[in-house]
Amino acid sequence: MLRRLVAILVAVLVWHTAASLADSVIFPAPVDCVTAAQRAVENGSLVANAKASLARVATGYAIAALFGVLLGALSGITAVVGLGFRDVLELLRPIPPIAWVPIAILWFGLGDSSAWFVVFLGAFFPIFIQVSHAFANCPEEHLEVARAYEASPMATFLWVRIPAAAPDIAQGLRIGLGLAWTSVIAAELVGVKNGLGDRIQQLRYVADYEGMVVCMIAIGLLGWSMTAFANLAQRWFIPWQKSSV
Amino acid sequence: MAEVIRIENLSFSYGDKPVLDGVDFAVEEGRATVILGPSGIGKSTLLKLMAGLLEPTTGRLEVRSQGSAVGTRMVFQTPRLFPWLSVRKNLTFALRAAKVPREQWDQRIENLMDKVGLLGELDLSVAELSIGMAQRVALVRSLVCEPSVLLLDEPFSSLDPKRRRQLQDDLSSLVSFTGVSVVMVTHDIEEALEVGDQILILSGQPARIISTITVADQPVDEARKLIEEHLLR
Repeated sequence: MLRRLVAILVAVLVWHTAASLADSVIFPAPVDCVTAAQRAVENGSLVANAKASLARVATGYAIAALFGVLLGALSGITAVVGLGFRDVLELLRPIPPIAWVPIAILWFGLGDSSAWFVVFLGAFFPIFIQVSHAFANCPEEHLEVARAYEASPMATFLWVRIPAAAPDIAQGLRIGLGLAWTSVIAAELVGVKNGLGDRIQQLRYVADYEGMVVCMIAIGLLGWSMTAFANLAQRWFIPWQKSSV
Repeated sequence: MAEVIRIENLSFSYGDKPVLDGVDFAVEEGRATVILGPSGIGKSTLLKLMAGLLEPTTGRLEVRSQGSAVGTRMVFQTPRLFPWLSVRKNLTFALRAAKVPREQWDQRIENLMDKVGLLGELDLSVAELSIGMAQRVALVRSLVCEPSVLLLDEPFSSLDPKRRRQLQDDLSSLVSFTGVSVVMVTHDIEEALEVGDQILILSGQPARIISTITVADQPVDEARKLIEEHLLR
């Protein structure tokens, strides 16, 4: 904790020094950003835009998590069909979510639907790939125990395959959450009328550079909080992750 | 004495590679049979065939339950407990799979866990067990189903000498308590002599049973000498 605090203080110091040396309006200093942050909190714009972005992430991510886990599990346990399905999706996976924004606007128009779609695409692939891989590679030593004890296919699925896959499912959901957050900002930069991404664009038009940096810091802090929450949830729900006897 | 396992002219291949060929033997009810042979000869394969984890390429393998609800249950080289389940739930997994009525679960678990001195550890997570405790739980997991035959795949190999001795004592206590028939595979002559009523020597490539030694018929030193002669042959 202390190490992290010192590192942040050093980073702020470096930022302050660099801003002083640059002495330019397009490189705001930390003190100016604090003032801008106070203003954004007081007029409510920061909270309102953060809420709008979080709501889009929640919707797009929930759909991605649902389909990613279900289709991933299905593709992981159906050997040949699953492999074919994965091959197709592996081709789509490298396309960055921002590349989908123009086509999302064409398909869904300007608004929440296109942002949800972009968030969905950002989160879906890592979740699907990770879950599919986890179910396809259930450790043989666990499956052999289930077979030796004559467990039914349903009991094996519920008591062996799902818990054995859980750490990888959680990892996929965690990576997906991070990508959902970066995707929503990309979608908001062009496709919607509020949210932190849109706010950055609006502030750019009025040359409020301190305000832009405040939004960027808010994006970073919210993303970090989500990852921290996901890590905590993973430790809570999957305490056995590091243990095996 | 009734036979619980009969194997006739059994062979098994992994793909094109024959591992076992012309294996014949029978396991009698209530006796401990040890299959002894060097590492990599096919002992674990033979045990997995008896456990139903593999299918013979040719030949006959018959497991007779002799009144038990289940035929065989296996203990592996390592405990292979499910780390996401508590000790108790690892045991109930086995009971549920064997379709044992739920009202019998507690009594069966408590009787056997008491025998191995782990009755107070039922609600621990698997991560909290030492390797010796985990292997004793694995032994109980196999026996709560009251199988006709207990299959042991070198169960002491991952343990240090002190824990090995303790597990051997627990095994003999559980075997006499339950009356289960035992088939154990090992490469260790002393372990074979310690556990076995009869010792089958597995040798050759592909492997087959080359000799059967009944331990009770002769002094232990004689039996040891006989085994060594067969293994060196």
